[in-house]
Amino acid sequence: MPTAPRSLPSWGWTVAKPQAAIIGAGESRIGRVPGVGALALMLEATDKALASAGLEMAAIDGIITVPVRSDTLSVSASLIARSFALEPRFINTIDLTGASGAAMVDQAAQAIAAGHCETVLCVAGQPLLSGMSRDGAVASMANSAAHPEAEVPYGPPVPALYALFAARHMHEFGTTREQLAAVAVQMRRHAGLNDNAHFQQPITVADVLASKPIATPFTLLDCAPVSDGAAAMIVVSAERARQIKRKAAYLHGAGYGIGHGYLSDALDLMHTGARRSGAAAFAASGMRPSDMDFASLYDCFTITLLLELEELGLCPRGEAGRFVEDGHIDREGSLPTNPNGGLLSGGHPGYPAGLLPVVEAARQIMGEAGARQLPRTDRAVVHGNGGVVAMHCTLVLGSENV
Amino acid sequence: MSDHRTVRCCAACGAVQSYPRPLCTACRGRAFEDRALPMRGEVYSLTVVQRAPSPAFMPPYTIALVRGPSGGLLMMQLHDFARPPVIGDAVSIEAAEGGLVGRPG
Repeated sequence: MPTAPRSLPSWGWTVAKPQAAIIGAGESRIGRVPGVGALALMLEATDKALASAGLEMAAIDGIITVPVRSDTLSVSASLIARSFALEPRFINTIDLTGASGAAMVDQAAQAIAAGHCETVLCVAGQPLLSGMSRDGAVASMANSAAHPEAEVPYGPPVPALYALFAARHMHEFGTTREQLAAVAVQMRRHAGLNDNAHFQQPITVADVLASKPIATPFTLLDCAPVSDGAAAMIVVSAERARQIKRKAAYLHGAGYGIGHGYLSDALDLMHTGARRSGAAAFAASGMRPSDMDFASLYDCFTITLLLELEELGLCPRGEAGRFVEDGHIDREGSLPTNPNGGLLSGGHPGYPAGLLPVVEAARQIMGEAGARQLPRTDRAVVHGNGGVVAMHCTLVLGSENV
Repeated sequence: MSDHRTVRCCAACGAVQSYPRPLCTACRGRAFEDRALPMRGEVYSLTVVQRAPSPAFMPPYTIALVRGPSGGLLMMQLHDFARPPVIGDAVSIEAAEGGLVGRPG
């Protein structure tokens, strides 16, 4: 723990002691999980998070979720509360799409600090794969990510919107097609140690290039799969975390940022809101990008991970392609990233996907990552990306040793 | 959606506004004017879509973000290029059925 408050004159931020911590984290089965509804998937993840925390369901007095429309239900915090037979003192629904998972932890910390509640369940999940056809999922995501009048009429599926970032990155920085593919290959290599990953079979750069064309420069393996799945976390005050559990993931800093709403209101796709969210999270934590033992980043497409590495200051601007190609993000590299295989291989259940990088970081810090446990996990940067690189939330998490 | 015959631009800085918004995203100006098409632009980024989001679209087709003459981005398909268009190509932004289209400029 830092002996806080310390001030960092160069940034002008006050670094405070962590006020909250994740003491439990879990995921449901992820991938193709037929016949299991959204609430049942969420219960599966919640049971695992509670077991990880060493708490009973009745201890939960706060709930934060994300908007999910699945099965025939719009799943709200109140519906989760009633389905889990809880009477929470605090409820909230965060609508930052893929950035919601990281934001949940920060907002749980604030609710606890305000005295609204003591034990917050952050949970989301949906059967995105089995609950609707894959074509239905592709169509519904396209209509939510693009502006109905200024973009949708031209026919951009979500991968095409991200492909516009990839094409521009290749143009400005000389990033190569093979470097994008290397991200997918790396994530699959990590997924080999994660039995709950949607896809585990190793792939090569040649496999990525030969996979089904989607939107240049992307082929199928540049895109995270559509998956069923849920994730859950239990957040308590830092003081309670030390009483309840020896190993917890303490929240040292959080930051938010936006770059645009829709792509066509952006001024420059290569300057995203992740730069601001990362700078704010690091400043609040009193730590630097170079202090991180590992990273857990939102990788819905290969380009997303490259952009985040650069915008969070984890590698120089324009050099993320080479950084990945050179093996830095491998579990044996200088900055192990997404040791669970990320969303690209681990699976992507839609809006709830934003919880998965946070859950993985927490499990690594708590020493609960099983076969894929990294040796050094005291300091982690976690990032969520919502919309089409639009909304961002970054967390700096740390162990009790920080 | 009806055809565009004009594009909304910021009266102060001239940036194109892809969809109506109360403040100019580039300069925070609040006054706008509709400028006639065709208008010159430049390809900022592009992708060739090979898997369409719905049966209403027939791949392959090229979607681009095109930068307006005084800044701002517009999304459109590119048509009638003799060779595959690339980032930096000059574009004539024109009215088309359903919105805008970019042709060689």
